[in-house]
Amino acid sequence: MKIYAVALSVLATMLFTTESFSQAPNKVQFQLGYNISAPLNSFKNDYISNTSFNGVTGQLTYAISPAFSLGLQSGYQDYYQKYGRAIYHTQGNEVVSAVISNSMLVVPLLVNGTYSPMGKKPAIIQPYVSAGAGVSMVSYKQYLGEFPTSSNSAAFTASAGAGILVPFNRNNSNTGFKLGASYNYAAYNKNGLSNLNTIGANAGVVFNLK
Amino acid sequence: MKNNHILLAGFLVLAGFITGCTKEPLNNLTTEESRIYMTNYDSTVNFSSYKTFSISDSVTVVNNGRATRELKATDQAFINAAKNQMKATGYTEVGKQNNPDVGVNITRIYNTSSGVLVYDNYYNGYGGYNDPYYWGYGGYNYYMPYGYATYTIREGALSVDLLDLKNAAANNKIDIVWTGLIRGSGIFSGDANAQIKTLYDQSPYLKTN
Repeated sequence: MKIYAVALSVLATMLFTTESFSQAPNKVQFQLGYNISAPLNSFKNDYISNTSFNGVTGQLTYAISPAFSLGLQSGYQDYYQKYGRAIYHTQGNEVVSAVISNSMLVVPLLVNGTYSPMGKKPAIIQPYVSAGAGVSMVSYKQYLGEFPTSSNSAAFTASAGAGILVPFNRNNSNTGFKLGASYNYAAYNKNGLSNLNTIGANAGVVFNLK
Repeated sequence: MKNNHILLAGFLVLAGFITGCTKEPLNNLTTEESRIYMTNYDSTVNFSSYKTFSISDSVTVVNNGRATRELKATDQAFINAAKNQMKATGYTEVGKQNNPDVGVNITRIYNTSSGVLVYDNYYNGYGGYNDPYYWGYGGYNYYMPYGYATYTIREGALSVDLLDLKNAAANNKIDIVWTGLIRGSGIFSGDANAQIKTLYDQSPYLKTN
């Protein structure tokens, strides 16, 4: 619940700061997108290999120039996998037969920079690249049968992405449909994991706040 | 203002997703999948040195630290299941008056109070509810040379314990040389044979040769 509270407070902060930003027309935008995310490396090999289709991202951006914008991004991605009944040697001679359910909820808070090389002039498609860094709140929960062990923690996170924006209107290349892919690194070294690296795809919309 | 309303709606949708759309693993478990089966044993024991066993004719019920003995249909089913598994692993059933090498105790455990019952303490922690007199060793203490490091019992559980009666007199105590513990939902309404078999199947060292 702590994670939810932090996420909500971040969102609330973003909401109440829009009024001052939005004094500059068409410079402040909001992006809302749907994410899928595939675990990589230790995250995939040691905990969850299933792709998560349960993710949402929201980002508040400020256009510093037609080609470059800064944003504050948050959202969540929920990972889950159930492993069939198997025998685990836990310690000493203790053996446990259990169905194991692994879940991981990741709520990032990133500062993102986005560069659109063709942003200075109208185009049917605006490609972009982005990079960001920040922190992710990570809720780890593992069930042996119905018995959970859990922990909440924060992890440094960095992200790099690329994609395209398809403007709603050719004369206004700021708003439109957005498609992209990203690689995410999260420094998470506990519970038998050495990272929470993922690769993801996202689709969403970008609209002006004023 | 209109844009702020749209934004607010977006935030509410996002918050709703976080709180409502995250997967709850427990909702994706069957009753059988909710259960875990734990076994532990005294690795200094050679289980093939035992040849005969006797099983208690009723089940001990530990409920919030108070112990009784009961024999309901479910209890009988678990007794029969354990008896069958002991035979399947090669042990011969004898009456308790015929000096069995191994005694088999079955216990139902409930702990709904605020206290937490540490499993490896329960044998000696409740005033001798499993009276060793039953096995002909009145006044002896039970001893479990191993433990479950992190597990505690806050809900229903069922245990099957193998007691070293063969060496009790020489050791001046009754060693609990093997324990099978079932935890989770629907234990007492579930298939007793399948549950007990799981405990024995993951303990291949339980054999007479």
